[in-house]
Parts: sequence; structure tokens; C-alpha cells
Amino acid sequence: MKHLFGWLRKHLVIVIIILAAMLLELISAIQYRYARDLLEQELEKSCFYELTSSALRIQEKIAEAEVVVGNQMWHIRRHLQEPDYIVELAANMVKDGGINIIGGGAAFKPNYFPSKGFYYEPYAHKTKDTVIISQVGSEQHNYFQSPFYMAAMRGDTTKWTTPYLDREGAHGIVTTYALPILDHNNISVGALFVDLTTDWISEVVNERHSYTSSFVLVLSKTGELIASPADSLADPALVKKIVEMVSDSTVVREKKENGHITGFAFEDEDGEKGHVYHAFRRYEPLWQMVMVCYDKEVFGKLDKMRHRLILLALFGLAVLGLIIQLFVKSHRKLQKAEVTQERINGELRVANRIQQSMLPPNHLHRQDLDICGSLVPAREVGGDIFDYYIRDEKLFFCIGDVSGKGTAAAMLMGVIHSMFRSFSLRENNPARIMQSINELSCQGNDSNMFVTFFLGVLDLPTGRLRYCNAGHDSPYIIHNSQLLSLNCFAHLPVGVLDDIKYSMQEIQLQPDSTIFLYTDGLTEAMDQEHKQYGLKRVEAVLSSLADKNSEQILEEVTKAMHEFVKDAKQSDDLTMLAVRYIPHSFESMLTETLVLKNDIREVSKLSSFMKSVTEKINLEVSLSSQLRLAVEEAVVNVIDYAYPMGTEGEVEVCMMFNGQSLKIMITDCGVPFDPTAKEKADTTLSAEDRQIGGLGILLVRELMDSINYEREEGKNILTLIKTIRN
Amino acid sequence: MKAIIEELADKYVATLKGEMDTAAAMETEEVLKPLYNSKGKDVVIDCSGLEYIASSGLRILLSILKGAKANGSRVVLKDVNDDIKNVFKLTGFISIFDFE
Repeated sequence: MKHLFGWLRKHLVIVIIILAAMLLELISAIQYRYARDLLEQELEKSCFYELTSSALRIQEKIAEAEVVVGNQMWHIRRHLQEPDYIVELAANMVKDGGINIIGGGAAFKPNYFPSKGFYYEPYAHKTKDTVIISQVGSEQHNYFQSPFYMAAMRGDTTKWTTPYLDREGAHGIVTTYALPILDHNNISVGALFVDLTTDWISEVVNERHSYTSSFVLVLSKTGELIASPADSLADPALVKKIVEMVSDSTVVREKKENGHITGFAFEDEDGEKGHVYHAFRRYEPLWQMVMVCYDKEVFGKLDKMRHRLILLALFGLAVLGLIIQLFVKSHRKLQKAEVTQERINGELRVANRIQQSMLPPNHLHRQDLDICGSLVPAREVGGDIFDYYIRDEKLFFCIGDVSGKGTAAAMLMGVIHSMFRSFSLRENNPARIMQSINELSCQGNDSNMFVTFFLGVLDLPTGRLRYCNAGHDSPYIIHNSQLLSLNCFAHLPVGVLDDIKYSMQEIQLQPDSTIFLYTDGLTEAMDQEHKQYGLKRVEAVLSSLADKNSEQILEEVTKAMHEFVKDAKQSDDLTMLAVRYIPHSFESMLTETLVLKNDIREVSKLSSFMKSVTEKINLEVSLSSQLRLAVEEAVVNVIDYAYPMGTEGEVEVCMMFNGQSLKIMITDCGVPFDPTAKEKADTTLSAEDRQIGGLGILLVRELMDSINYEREEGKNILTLIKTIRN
Repeated sequence: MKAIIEELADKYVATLKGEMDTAAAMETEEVLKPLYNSKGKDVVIDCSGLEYIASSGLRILLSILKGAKANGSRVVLKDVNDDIKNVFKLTGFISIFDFE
């Protein structure tokens, strides 16, 4: 059952077309039946009419002959004693009769006129232009046996003979009409007769027909063919067959017109079907009238019309089927497209989640930092990015905008984002990070997409902001109701040329300053009249937000922008990042300093120095030991790396305590050396794979709360902080 | 800082005493160098007297361990105090040495 439904659904169009075709055929068949019945009735009517009218036309001629004989009879009876005059009368009768009366005469009983002999039959024969009179009765022509004579003498009611071949008088096929000649005693003494040819009958009855293939046959009472149309109009074989069928009592007939007419069907040699209508004449001679008509002519047009209609309907259905098929196909395509679209949408939603999850938290609150960022893509995924993270007391942050929107932009942004993260892992210089990102981005950038990118590194202990801008909108610094657009070198965006030299810029950030970064989705936000929000409006809003925290700043800017664009659709990704810097000063209660030479043996001095400091602040032994280890490792690192072999220098260790935290600053005048940029040793490796190096800095990171490197005035300054008490 | 090694029939026994800072490690390495190739014998290092160790000290221990492992023998650290054990933890050395 399920299988059947499935099949029906699959072949729905074909099923519909077949059903429609069947319905159409049914309607057409009913119509055809109905029309055929009507036509048949019509045919019968016209056949009956033709049969009747043919019979009437025969009657005219018949009556003509009967009248001629009747009229002459009167004269004959008056001159019954004058045999020679009778000849004249007979000649007049033939002369006056119609053209179809080919001859006529009188035939008297034997020896009626003794002067004329045993046989006396004067006969007038009409030729083309004259009437020849002769006495035809003789031993050779014993007319006493002639059917017309015998009938007349008997006084039969049948006064017409069956047509026959007259060799003596008429010399052709004739039918004879004879009346008895009665003497004064009303005794038959002979017969007065006319011979009527039969060749006119066919012409008269086949004068015209409603159907050209129809024809009428006339048969004698006993079934002999009297008249048939020319062979060209009716096939003699068919005529013969019809004549046989008329007399064949086994043929099934239908009675019509109160039984006056009977009808039956026939089929000719070629298989063509037809109908025969048959009737007897009502008057003498009682001939049979037979009308033959072919169905083809009667119903041919109807059949043709039906065939055409069926063909037309089939063609129409085929076209309809094709249209439905196309419609169904396009509908299925549309459905498929919808499914595909839904899948793409689903994937885009996932992509959006992935992209959002790559972003850092929207908020970060620390003692010295208050960060808020937001990214609203115009589509599911966008080409904007912001990111920030803190490493070794440095805030690495960035904002970027890929040329173009959508998936391609998002993919490139994802790549740029990971590069930012990985290159900044061991590099503090924003220009160098930018350089690396640019070089890698240019490789295989066949789509020629580029990214405007701002990259900042804020040293949290000092407030020193180092940055590098690759073609991005300059960020603003908000400080004490002053709005400062950050001065940026005009660098090309990332991804344009691989040999660009990016330069770093640096400013000292004042406490309680906010860095505001944005993408052009803000300044180029458009209202419904396509008017841009613009930099001036942004600046106006920003200048009033000096005392606000980062979250409030973003809220206010967004609110003001929305008031401007109203209901207009967001056309570009909108990204903003606000970084508020609120450093706390380290107020030292205790400061101790130790200066060492760049010699490993000097390290032993650290032990007693550290002990004395940690004792002063009452630090427990194990914590003290940890601090000592961290400082020793840091100092050894400096001695090993900051001073090249053979050079002499000093390392200063300065310890400060503010009641809560210990801050240890290790300063040297050696070559720039950033231990925080060193790769961290992998502590999960097996003994065989463990490397000898990297342990020192690992210990420093593990033992201290924070480590920070700064190069200042030709000095390397490494700052370690450990919170002792909360 | 004091370091002694003893070679027994089936093992080496080393005894470390005092604070092994970076400077001390340089001197101690000279004493412990024979242990870099323990000739298939296990090495037992008595740390009961060890009060402090810096990363350079750890590096020496790692070198001894690598040598021993190459010959299929063990290195056992005996009686390591908690502070020093913490250093082993922080560096991930705790999982590559055997402790008793």
C-alpha cells in the first residue's frame, strides 16, 4: 500500500494525465453515441423520404400508362367489331403515351375475329420517330400463354407483369400493363396492353440522393432486380448481395414506420458497413424499393471529428502534462533550494556561534582595566574582529575590518585573528606582530582581500601604549573630557603588499584614559535616506563620556547611532572596543636594593639579601624560598643573556613591599633581552624528550603572580610581582 | 653545598647537602659528572640534606636521568623535602623521577 502511494506520488503527473484522458474519452464517447443516434435518426428520416419520393416518381409513370390504357379501352369497346380500327386505336394509344411506353396493342382470344385468323394481336411499336404497326400473333408467338394475357383474361387484380425480355414486340426489357377487353356481355374477349420500358426507373429513383454513395434499387415483387444504378455508382457485386439479402429470410430486420419499412445492416467486400432500408410499393405494381447507404458517408464526418477531437485532446493533455511536469519540477527544485537554504542558514548560524566564540569576553574588569567590546555583524557572519588578552602584564588588543562582508570576509578574519594570537605570544612589539601578520596574509591571498587592522600593546604597570595601525580608522583617547584622535602613521592595510615596513608608535597613557576603537560600521551607519552617521557625530558623543565606564561608553554610542539611523537596516558590521585604563600606584613601604656583577658566582649574594628582606616582612620560610628561587632564576637569565660573553655589567635587584604585594624589579644595562618572549618549556614531556633549557623562566612564571618586561632608556627592566597577603 | 658519590656493587649512591643554587650547581656538577654514565647501575640520590635547588641543579639531575635511562637503569631521589618537591612539581620533573 505504502509502495503504491509512493509510486503514485512519484508519477503523479502521469496518473493525472491518464485519468484526465480517460475522462475526456468517456465524455467524447457519450457525445459520439448521442450524435450518432441523432444522425441515425436523421438518416432514417431522409431514407424514408427518399424511398417514398422514389416510389411516387415511379407512380407518376405507372399512372400515365394506366390512364392511357384506360382511356383507350373506352374507344376499343365501342369499336369492338372493327378489328382494323382497333389497330389504329392501339397505335394512337402508343403514340399518345409517354416516351417510356415503347409499345402496346390488343390481344384477342382465339378466333375472335375469324377474318383475322386464330391469332390476332395487333401491336404498335414506337421507334425514335415513328410507330410501326404489326400483327404479331402467330403460332410462333402464342400470346395466349403470355402472363399479361392470361392475367387479363382471368380478371386478376394484378395488372402489371413482372418485367421480362420481349423479343417479339418491344425488343427489350419491359413490364406490361394489361386490362381485359370486355364485350357487351362483360365477357373478356382479349387484353389491351402497353409495354413500359424499365430503364427509366433507375434514373427516376436515383435522380438525387442526400448521400452521394447512396443508391436505390427496385426489385420485382418476387425479388428480381428491375432497376439498379450504373456500375460506376453502385458495385454490381454489392447490388447482387443486397438483392440476395432482401429475399433472405434469415437476415435480421428492424421494422420501422409501422412496419412499412424494414432495415438491416450490411458489410461490403471491403468491410465497409452500411444500412439497407426496404419497402414494398403500396400500389400496383407491387415492386420492392431498396435504399442502400454507407455508414462512412453518414457517420464519416462524425468519426473524423471524433478522431480529431481525441487527437486534439491528447495533444492538449500532453502539453498540460508537460506544463505540470515543469511546474512540479520547478516546485521540487524550489523545495530543494529551500532545504539547501535552510542548511546554509543552519551552517551560517553555527559559523556565527563559532565566530562569536572566538571573541574574547565582552567585558573585562580588573583593578587596572575596564574593557568592553561588541561586535554586531550585518549578516550571520562578519568580517570584523576585536580581540584582547593580557600576557605578562601587557594588554594586547586589536580591532580589524576585512574588505567585504559575509563568509569570505569571516574566514579571512578568522585567520588574521589566529595570527594575531600566535604572533603576539612571544612578541611585544606591535609593528613586528603586524609585519608577521602581513607577510603571512600576503602569501596565497589570491582573492586580494585586505584588512584594516589596529594593533595595540598596553604595558599595564607603566601605561605605555605601543601601537601600529594598518589603514584602520584612528582610535580615540578619551581623557578628562578631552577627545584625542590617536596619531597614526598611514600604513597600508594588511594583505596588500608583502614588503611593507610597519612602524611602531608609542604614547604614554594617562590614568583614567579610555581608548575607543571602532570600525566604519559606526561612522558609515546610514539612515533611511542613506545619510551617514559620520565622524563628527561620533566625536560629539564621545566627548561627553569622559566619566563613564567602558560599558556605558559603548551603550551611549550605540544609542546615539540608533537614534540617528532609526529603522534603517544595518548595512555593515559594527564593532567597538573601549579600554579604560585605571592604574593603581604601588606605594612601597619597604624598598631594598642589591647590585650584582654579571657573574654567576654573585648569585650567592642573593640568598642573604632575600632572607633579610623576607624576614623584615615576616614571610614564611617556604614562600621566602620560592621568592628566592624566582629572583635567582630571573637574575641568572639576565647574566646569561643580557651581557654577551666577556662584557662586564651590573644587575640591580630592587625589592619593594606595599603591605600586600612584593614587587621585584631586575634592571640591567645589557642588550635588549625579553625573557617573557621565550618559549615556555613543555612540562609534560618524558625524560628523554625534556630539554635542558627554559626551566628558569618557567619557574619564574610559576612562582610569581606576574612577570613584566620593559625596555626603558637603554635598560632591560623585568618586574615580578607576588601578592603575599590579601 | 656538599656532594659525595659512592659506587657500590649494584648502584651509585650520591648524597647532596646544603643549598644548590646556580653557583653551587656549577661546582657540584664536577663531582656528579661520573653519574652521567652510570654503566647500567641504578643511581640513588640522597636528598635528605638538600635545602634548596635552582634550575641549574635540576638540569644536572636531568642529565643523570637521561644517562641512566639510556642504559636501562633507574634514578631514585630519596627523602626530598616538600619545598623542593614543589619545584619538581612546577617543572613537571615529578613525573619523570622516582621518589622514595
